[in-house]
This record gives sequence, structure tokens and C-alpha cells, in this order.
Amino acid sequence: MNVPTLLGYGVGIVCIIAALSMILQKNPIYSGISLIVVMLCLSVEYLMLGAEFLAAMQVIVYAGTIMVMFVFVTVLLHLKVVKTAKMSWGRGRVIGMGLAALFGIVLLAAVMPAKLGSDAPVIPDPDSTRTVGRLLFSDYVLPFELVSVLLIVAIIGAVVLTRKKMEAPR
Amino acid sequence: MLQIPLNHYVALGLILFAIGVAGFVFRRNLLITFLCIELMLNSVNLIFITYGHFLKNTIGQMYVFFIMAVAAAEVSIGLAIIIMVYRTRGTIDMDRLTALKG
Repeated sequence: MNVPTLLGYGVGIVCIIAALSMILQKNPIYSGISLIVVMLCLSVEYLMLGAEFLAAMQVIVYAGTIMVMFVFVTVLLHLKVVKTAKMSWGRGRVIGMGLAALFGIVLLAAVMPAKLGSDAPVIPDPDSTRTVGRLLFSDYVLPFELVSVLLIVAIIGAVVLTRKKMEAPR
Repeated sequence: MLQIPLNHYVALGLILFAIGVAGFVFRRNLLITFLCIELMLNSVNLIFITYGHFLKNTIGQMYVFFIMAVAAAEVSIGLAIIIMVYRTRGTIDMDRLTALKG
């Protein structure tokens, strides 16, 4: 039980606390910020698991782009929204939270006893970024090109959806 | 040297997934629901990378790469839809968006 392991567990606990904060906050901007904290903690977890490229991608793409978009849209819709966002703790909601906790416990009970062969510490591949880059352009080049098509479709879709109505053609 | 076993990483992923499911089902605000979808996607990413690390195969990271790209596209379209819903209905409170109710 050395310091990196303790820090790893600490990051995991911060992650769970931030996720709980995300679903329990009244103000949607605080929820967005809590999710940014979750994503940064997950980025640290990816670093611990030897996925440096994905840790950087997580910060750049998820925490830096997607969540910023979320916060922007929340600010755009913010003024009218906060007044209606009341968390009412009726009986149905408490029972539902209990069921969600039960769901989590059942999943954990299924997974925790499982073992993966040997318990020897796994040394991560020190060159994982190079491996990811090589695989992207050799074995996974088709999904890679399809992702570019997907992104163009998403751009066109977002622009078309938020266009204001043009006047009717004569 | 890190000594966190596989089960603990997967447990963190599952707890985050369960929290995402709870938030998705019980929040009335459409934006928070969407945030919970992103939390579920992130928890699955963690599980993919965990197994990729412990099985010494980079395929976990490839899956996560493509999940991240798809999530970025999905978030842009989803936020555009939420903006349109707000423009046409004036609210993003799910209890009041009952136009499709039978």
C-alpha cells in the first residue's frame, strides 16, 4: 500500500463524490462543473492504466470541448431553467433511488469476486501512443475514416437543426 | 508501483454507471439527463481501458477512441435538439414536455 496506490484510490473516491454531486445539484451549471471534475479524475485513472494518449484526449475532447459546449448551452438556457428545476423528494423518488442503489449493488456483486488469472502487477506498455497510432492506420483505418464522415454529418445536422425558419417559398 | 487490482477499477466504472442511470431516470431537467448519458459513456470507457490494460491488448484504447468520437458527434446533435425544444416549447422540464402523450 504505497503512495501512488493511495492517490489512485483517492482519485476514485473524488470521482464518485463528484458524480453524486452531479445528479443531486439543483443548478445545472454546478452539475456541469461536477461532470468536468469526474472527467478529469477519469483522465488520471487512464494515466494510471497506461493509456496516455486517451488521457490527453479525455481532457482535450471531453472536458475541454464537450463539457464547455454543455456549459455554454446551459448558460443560454439558464435564466428560465433554474426556476423550474426543483428536486422534489417524494416517496416515488426515494424508492427509485433505492432501486438504483440496488442495481449498482447487484452489478458490483457480480463483478467483484471475479479474478483475471494471475495477480502479478501489470507493467503498462510504455509506447502505447505509438501503438494506438499504428493500429489506427493499419487495422482500424476503416472506422477511422467512417468517424470523419460521422463528424461531417454531425456538423451538418447541428447547423440544419438550429437554423431559423426561412420564409416560405413562393 | 500501482497495486490496484482489476476488480476495483471495474467497481469504480460500475458505480459511476449506476449513478448515471439513477440521474438519467430521476432528473426532470433535460440537460442533466443528457449529462448523465455522458457519465454512463465515460464509465464504460474506463471499463474498456481497464480490461485493455490487464489483458495487455491495445484494443481497449481503440474502442475508447471511437466511443469518444461518436460521443462528441452525439453531444453536438443532442444539444442542438435541446435548443430546438427550448425554442419551440419554452421549457426543458421533462414533466411539461407531454406533446407525445397518448
